[in-house]
Amino acid sequence: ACGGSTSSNGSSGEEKSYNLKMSVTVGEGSTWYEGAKKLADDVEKETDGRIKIEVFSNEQLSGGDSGKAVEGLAKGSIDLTFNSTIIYSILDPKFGVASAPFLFDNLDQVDKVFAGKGGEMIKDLLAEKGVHALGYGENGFRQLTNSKVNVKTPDDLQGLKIRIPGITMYTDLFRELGTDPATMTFSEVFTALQQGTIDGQENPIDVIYSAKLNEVQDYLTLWNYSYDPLVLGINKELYDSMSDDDKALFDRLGKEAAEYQVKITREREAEQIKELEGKGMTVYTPSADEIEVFKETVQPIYEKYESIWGADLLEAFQER
Amino acid sequence: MTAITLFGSFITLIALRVPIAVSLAVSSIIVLFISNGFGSFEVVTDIMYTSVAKFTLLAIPFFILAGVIMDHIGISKRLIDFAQALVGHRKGGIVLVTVLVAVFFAAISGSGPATVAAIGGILIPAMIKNGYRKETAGGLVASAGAIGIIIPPSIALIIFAVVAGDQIPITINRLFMAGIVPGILVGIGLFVAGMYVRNRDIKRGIFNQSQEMQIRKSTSKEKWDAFIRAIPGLLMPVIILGGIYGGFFTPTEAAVVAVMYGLIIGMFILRKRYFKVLYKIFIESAVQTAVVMIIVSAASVFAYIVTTEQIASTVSNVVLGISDNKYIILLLINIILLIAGAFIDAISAFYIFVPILLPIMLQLDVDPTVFGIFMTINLAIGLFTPPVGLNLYVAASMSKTNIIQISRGVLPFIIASIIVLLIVTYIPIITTFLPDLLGVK
Amino acid sequence: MKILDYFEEIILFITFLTITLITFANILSRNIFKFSFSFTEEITINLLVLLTFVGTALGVRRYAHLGFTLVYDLAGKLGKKVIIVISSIISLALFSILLIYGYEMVQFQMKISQTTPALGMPQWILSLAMPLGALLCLIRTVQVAVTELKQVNKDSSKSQINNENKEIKIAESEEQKGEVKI
Ligand code: NA
Ligand code: NA
Repeated sequence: ACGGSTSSNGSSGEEKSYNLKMSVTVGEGSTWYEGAKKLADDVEKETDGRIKIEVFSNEQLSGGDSGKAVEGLAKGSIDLTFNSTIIYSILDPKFGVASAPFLFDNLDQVDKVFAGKGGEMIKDLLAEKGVHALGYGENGFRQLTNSKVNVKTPDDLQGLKIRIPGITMYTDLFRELGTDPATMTFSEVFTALQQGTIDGQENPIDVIYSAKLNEVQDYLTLWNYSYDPLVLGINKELYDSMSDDDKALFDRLGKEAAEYQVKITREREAEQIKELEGKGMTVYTPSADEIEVFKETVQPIYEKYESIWGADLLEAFQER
Repeated sequence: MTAITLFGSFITLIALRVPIAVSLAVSSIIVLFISNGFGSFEVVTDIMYTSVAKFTLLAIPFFILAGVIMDHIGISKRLIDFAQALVGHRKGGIVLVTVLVAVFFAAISGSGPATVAAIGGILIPAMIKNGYRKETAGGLVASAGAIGIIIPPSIALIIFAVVAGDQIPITINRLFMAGIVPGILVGIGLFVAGMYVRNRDIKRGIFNQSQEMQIRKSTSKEKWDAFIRAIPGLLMPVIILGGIYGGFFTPTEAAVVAVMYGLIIGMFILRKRYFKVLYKIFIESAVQTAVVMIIVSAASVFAYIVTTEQIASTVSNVVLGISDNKYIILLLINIILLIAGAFIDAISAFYIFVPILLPIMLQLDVDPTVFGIFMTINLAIGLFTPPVGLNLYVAASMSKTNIIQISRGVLPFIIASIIVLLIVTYIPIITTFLPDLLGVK
Repeated sequence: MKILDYFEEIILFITFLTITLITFANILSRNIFKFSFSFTEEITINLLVLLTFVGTALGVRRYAHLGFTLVYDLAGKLGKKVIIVISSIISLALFSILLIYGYEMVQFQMKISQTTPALGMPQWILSLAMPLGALLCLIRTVQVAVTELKQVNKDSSKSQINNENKEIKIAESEEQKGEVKI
């Protein structure tokens, strides 16, 4: 069942050896790649090379397509991946709950939910889809950039053409906010921003920074409007077929690798914001009152999506 | 070892007349089977599916469609008439007309052979009538048609952006802008070579100079009329490039606008025949699109093997082991690509070579834009080098020569293009100054 | 086979027209009505897959696919037959893999009820493009192989009078079909 990998009996008694393939969405300079690399190195070291993980950047294992990577992970043609829960919503729209608008005020709330019942429920949901979650990484809070106006309130957003990921919830949300949302493949975003085909986009800081969007965008609003968690996942059939020792090893090292990825992402983010500001971007952090206005504006989204996400799941994510 | 299996089986299959797309996929499947058995074949379908289902690639069918429409509604003939009226009466005027029209049609069409087909039907007979040998006529049109993939819009440059985009951020807009000047340079090179052949043949007494003078100078009125009739064609690049750089559309959208423009113009030109022709246009474009896209699809599996089996790093170690001199390596790479281009098509070559060569280029501090352009010129030359050259085949049939005759006829143009290729490779500013000047990143 | 021709052509015509119209309507709506329905792009890119695989099948019949024919051209009657048989078997092998594993892909997507991200459409319906196209390619490959084998017999019985002319004629007839490739 583990297509992209070979598993054969190792020399040391019953212990099986593995050559596994892991896919991450973004490039080699990313924290995703570093986190995956740490897992690969740790596993190889602790098993004296019995288990090897080869890490591939830019979703090279699925022709550059994240959706296909998640599908591949679920069916076992890819062994491990780092993918956003936003991508997982093609398997079940419930995964969208983690990115609900203005759900979290800060990272402390995030950590608490993912370490608690919310994290457990997502893990169960993943298991149903054939994925065993080793840990949660972080793409970060998604922030807004644009070339027109320093966005402080929903009024500032009216009529802006904003590129969003191709997920229904975001489309509904950005309509609710009064913008003119457009989905577009990310590789065309820089060009489209530069030529003025669109006015703005939203992404976590690391993406904004590595794509050098500051060259084509003047305003950055740190509104923390949608949290974007990563799942460090392993194909469940593969995981279940492992010895108890190997399972425990993957659970421990996977959790560590995910935590490491979260840590370096947060460290870098602070520096990156400073650098973006240094390069001429106007960085604005809305006040608590201003965020409150946004929250009220997007209430209809909660009304519409509560039934899709499920009341239990939403409640677990709203627990403080 | 894996590299030898992969490339060895690929070459064997090609030699057995297996279509290039099938050869790419099957040689990859052989390697997959050796390392993983049957269990890994689902990767093949996954990658063949996702590599085609890409928004950026949507520009390809539209640019193909736009080119086919423009050809079917007679736009190329109008462009030729206009160029004839301007410079056709001069000595060697038809050479200039051919190059001018090729450069211009290149700004409409995204593909090389389509450019040959669009202009060759009229220009090859015209050249022969003007006293040129048929292999010279065929050779010039075959080579001039290749400018179609250097000057935007270009299917080749879109593919480069997609393939290179896995490693570095690079935009189609920048590549398109960067291709203009080198494309014109190739045109100048071909014009010079054409004039050289003409003068050489006069000396040898195998050029009938009396025929050449038959075209008289056009009057201002004739020029003006020809201009008016050429306007629909002349506007096309304005819409495409103006639309993209004016911020109205993405390249994909520009392509579809070009299609709509062509369809509307066609309605006025074709009138009653319109709907019958329309069906034919779409089917023909669909087949042309499939021929390109199935190679994209299969070559992506090949590129997957190159990546996952670490073939890229093996090859680049070998290449960088030969020399650490940037200029020698650039020369070496150009030679490899010219040889490869003699046998395989441009799109396969991008998928096979970009994952291998781009890391080397980055290590040598070569601007990826420059790399994209000189690689494209290289593969454009491949379109008219024997034994496998699509432009060559199309032009051979149009000029009623066989492949050996036309290979002789095209030689001066190959040499001229290689000279331009080396100039573009070694003087990067030729490529970068226009996009840099206009701030296109 | 006539029916198959129409079937393929109609699919290609409708698919291509739909892709064109959706994309164009999207530009219009965005620039004029300030309303973007670019989420439809997930339909267009899946239709591009359909266009590719069905177009590939028609391309097989029209001899449109790129290949290297020098060895074949130089081969004798028996050599030509051997090459036709081997190359067809290799093509058939690939299209069988695409049919079988394409079908498995469709089944898996049905099983986990995978949807498209923006419209929430069942992905498997769109993914059918691949096994369907592969099936058509299989049929076309057999058809062309049979035709070619017959042609080899016919050509050799007439003896090779003028190779040069024949070459041009073949090239011309391809040209007339409009199979001009990048
Ligand atoms: Na072009
Ligand atoms: Na060639």
